[in-house]
Amino acid sequence: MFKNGAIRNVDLWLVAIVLVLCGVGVITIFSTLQGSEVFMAKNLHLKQLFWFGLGLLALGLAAVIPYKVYYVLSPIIYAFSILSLLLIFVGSREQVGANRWYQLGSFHLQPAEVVKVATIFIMARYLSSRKMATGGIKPFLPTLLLVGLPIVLIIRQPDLGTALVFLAILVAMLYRAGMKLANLFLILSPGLSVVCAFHLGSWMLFILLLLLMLFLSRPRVLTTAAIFVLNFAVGVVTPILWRGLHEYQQKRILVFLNPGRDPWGAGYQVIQSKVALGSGGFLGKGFLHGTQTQLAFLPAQHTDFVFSSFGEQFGFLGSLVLLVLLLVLILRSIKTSYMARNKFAGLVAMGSAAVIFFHVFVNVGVSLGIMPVTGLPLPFLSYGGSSLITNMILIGLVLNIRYRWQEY
Amino acid sequence: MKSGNPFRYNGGFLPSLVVVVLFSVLIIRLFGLQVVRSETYRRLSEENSIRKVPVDAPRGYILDRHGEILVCNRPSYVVSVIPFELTKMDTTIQLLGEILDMDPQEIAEKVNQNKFRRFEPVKIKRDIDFKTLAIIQANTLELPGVIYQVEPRREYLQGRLASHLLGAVREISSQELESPQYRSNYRSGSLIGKWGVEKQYEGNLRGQDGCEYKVVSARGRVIGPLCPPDSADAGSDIVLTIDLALQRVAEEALSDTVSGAVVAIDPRSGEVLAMVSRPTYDPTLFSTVVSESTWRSLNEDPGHPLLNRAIQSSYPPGSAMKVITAGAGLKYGVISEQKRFKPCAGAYKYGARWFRCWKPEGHGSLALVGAMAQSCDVYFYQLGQELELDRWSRLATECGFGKALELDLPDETGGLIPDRSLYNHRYGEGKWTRGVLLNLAIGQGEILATPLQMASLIAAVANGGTRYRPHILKEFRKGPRVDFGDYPKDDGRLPFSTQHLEILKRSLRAVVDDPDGTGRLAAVERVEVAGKTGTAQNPHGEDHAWFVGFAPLDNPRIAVAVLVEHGGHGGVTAAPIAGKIIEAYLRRGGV
Repeated sequence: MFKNGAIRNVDLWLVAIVLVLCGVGVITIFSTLQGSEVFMAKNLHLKQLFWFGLGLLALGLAAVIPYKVYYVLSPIIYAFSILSLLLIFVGSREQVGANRWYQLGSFHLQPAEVVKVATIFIMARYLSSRKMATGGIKPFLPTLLLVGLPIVLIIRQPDLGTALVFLAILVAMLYRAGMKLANLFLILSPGLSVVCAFHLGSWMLFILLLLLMLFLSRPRVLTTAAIFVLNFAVGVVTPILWRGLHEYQQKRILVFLNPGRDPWGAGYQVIQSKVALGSGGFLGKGFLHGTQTQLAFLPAQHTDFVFSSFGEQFGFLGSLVLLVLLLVLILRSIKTSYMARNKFAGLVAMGSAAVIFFHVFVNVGVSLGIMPVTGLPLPFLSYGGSSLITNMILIGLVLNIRYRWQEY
Repeated sequence: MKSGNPFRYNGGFLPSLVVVVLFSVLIIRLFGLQVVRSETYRRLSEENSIRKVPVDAPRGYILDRHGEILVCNRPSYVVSVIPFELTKMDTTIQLLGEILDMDPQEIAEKVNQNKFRRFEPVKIKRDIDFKTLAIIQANTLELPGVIYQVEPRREYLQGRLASHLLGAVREISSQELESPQYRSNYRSGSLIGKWGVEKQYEGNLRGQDGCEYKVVSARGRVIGPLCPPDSADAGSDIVLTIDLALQRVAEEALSDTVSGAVVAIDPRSGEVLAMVSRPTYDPTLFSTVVSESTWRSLNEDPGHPLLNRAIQSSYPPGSAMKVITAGAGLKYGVISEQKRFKPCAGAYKYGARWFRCWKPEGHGSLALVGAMAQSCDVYFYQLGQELELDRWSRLATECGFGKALELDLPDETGGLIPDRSLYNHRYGEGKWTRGVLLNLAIGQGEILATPLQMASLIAAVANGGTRYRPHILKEFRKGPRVDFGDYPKDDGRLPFSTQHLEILKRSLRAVVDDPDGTGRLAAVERVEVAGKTGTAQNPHGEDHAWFVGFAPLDNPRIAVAVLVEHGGHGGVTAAPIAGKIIEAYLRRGGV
């Protein structure tokens, strides 16, 4: 199987960590089912085990097929995934107020998951085929379109959390492609301007920073002017538009951006999550002894709040180990990205690392109560087929690239 | 960062650093939760957990002008279900249905309506008695997810008194809940004012709901509060201009067996002192959820008990309108106080048609005061004949007719003042004659007015011409804070000079005072009452009886309009009612 003893090119650490994480996931899901007859009857842990099997298959496939095949196929994959996002408005059923899923039998396929991989491919292909290192901003502008398309489609579903994942992909891959930090800042500046516009002080600070970055990167005069005017206009217009809205419209936007503002539901979840984690203490309550978990006081505990359930049972020590495993997984993916001699491969690995990191950071952040509730799953641990398989594919790609790192 | 070829292996130091730093943030926070503050959370979770329960803000009270309570709240028990905690849904709902004597299907529907807010209690039955409560308490273990709470229930202390004016509350409908206007401050099961003051001042009465975090044992027993609650912010109390004692008198004066309305206004301010509508209904029917059958029987009652006839119903004013006709005659110089027309012989011929006076034997020759006192139709036919329709219509409109006065109650109707275009539309251009004005001059024909408009007119005549905006809100009270309503003080003046108004007042006094006056039954001993009777023909049966009046003649303190549907002669049916109200008010010394 492995040519001339190339087994040392297989990142066994990565494989081991993924297996451990998935195992922990199945066990934690099992523990969360104890409190509810309904969930127990559904045998979700066994289903997750089945997804795990499928995921391993996907991981293997993603790892074995030479990544150059992905390079060739990437436009087709991207086109199909965008099409599937478009079709979802037509074909899918309403599910918990949001159109996110395709239903195939009892299996809900989330196209947003597939689009993540497709976007990484198409971005990597575009960025690798250009000489970027010394360029300014202009050659990067098409990438905004490549990432913007899925973002717009997903935000309309609506799923802000997943849409933000694409921003993470954009930033990480542009940086990896060699864009200077100052230029990266300039590309993202209109978005930052909107966010800062609501507070005069922070907006002033933002404008100062913008001027500094413009000075550092010194694009052509016309570009400089355009960027500055755009930012200035956005910053001035946003608060005016905002004040023009009715109070209920503002509220609707705020609840959309941050469901935690809705006191019934999300806020309750966060309180329960913190109690579960905090009561776990240093060593935890022990497997299957999580009272919050057992009594089903903690909602969505097998999906979005699986980390809280794990933390309750295994304590700070367990959570720390879990976080370190995830950290190592991400760091090794980044390392792989920089080892790869092929530009496309390096970029794909970086995009994969960004996706996994963003999910971990936001999901755990939500469980700890330092982030608004967004509904992003914890990679490898949360219950759900689409998410698990996607993450397995991403890791498969990283293994693939690591194995062929010497290829140009 | 060094530029050059970034694809050379450099270990990706910066991105790795960012990742490590952000992970450190998570770990530090985790340390805070699981190690530093662990004890607090452990205590919370020991056999216990937290439940978030909304607390309904107490609705503001409604008080009369002297602070007497008309509407308040009393505590009542409500049984709710928290869908998320319904671990044995089917058996629980079955049992709950038996205890509450409800169809389990109905309970299941209520629960399902709220399936997207699974942590929020859904109110199943309001105002349960202690016996039922005890049974639920005894069966707590069999009823996981079922809770009971205390909630304020609306109590109409005065029974049927002023029921139309005060209005009622009902549970908000799911359609209303959809609308952005209500979404933020209302939940399924929230009560909302549906008519009357309860609707008009919903925004002030309602307040802001709060919520409590309660620690609940594993068995579902509430152990205590977790942290200080987000307190409910009670609604403002509303002080009405209504005088409870006078309202009582008015309610008694207008018999329960008739249809009609009474409006009493303070002519010095436009404050409504009393407002009665008959037939009436029992507002306590609405303090909990109204059953469909009750609702239908009220709605389909041919007597329309839900209609507030004082403002939502309009009638031809009959001779009460002669006040405006006389005013118009004086204003445009058609008459002076001494002017006499052809003597009344019981009828008046205009064109080919005879217009009859109400008194077949005739009144003889009369000047304004006598004509008003005896309500001589022939005098006013001749006066009307000299007027112009356009002028008359404009004048009536300027007196507050033909459009709502914008009293601070919902659904006020404006009545109707016909004008040239209406007749053109109805009969065709040139197909009608000035004869219409003869009818309008005595308040018959197309003209329609509400009892409120009549009361408001006579109040303005009484006070010397200022058209104060009628209102029932005196002030909002919240703790020590007092706010006032936001409405114009007045709507200008009547289009009559002070001198002419004095003549009108003198003639109105004669209606009650003159031995031949039609309104003698409104007389009150030692009080100078002035007013005008009205007997409005209508095609549906017996005439409507009107009386509008005020007292005392100099420096008036009360103005009243009384309408009795199909009551016959205004001087016989309506005038005594007005007399009783005026007497009771002034004997007590008024406000």
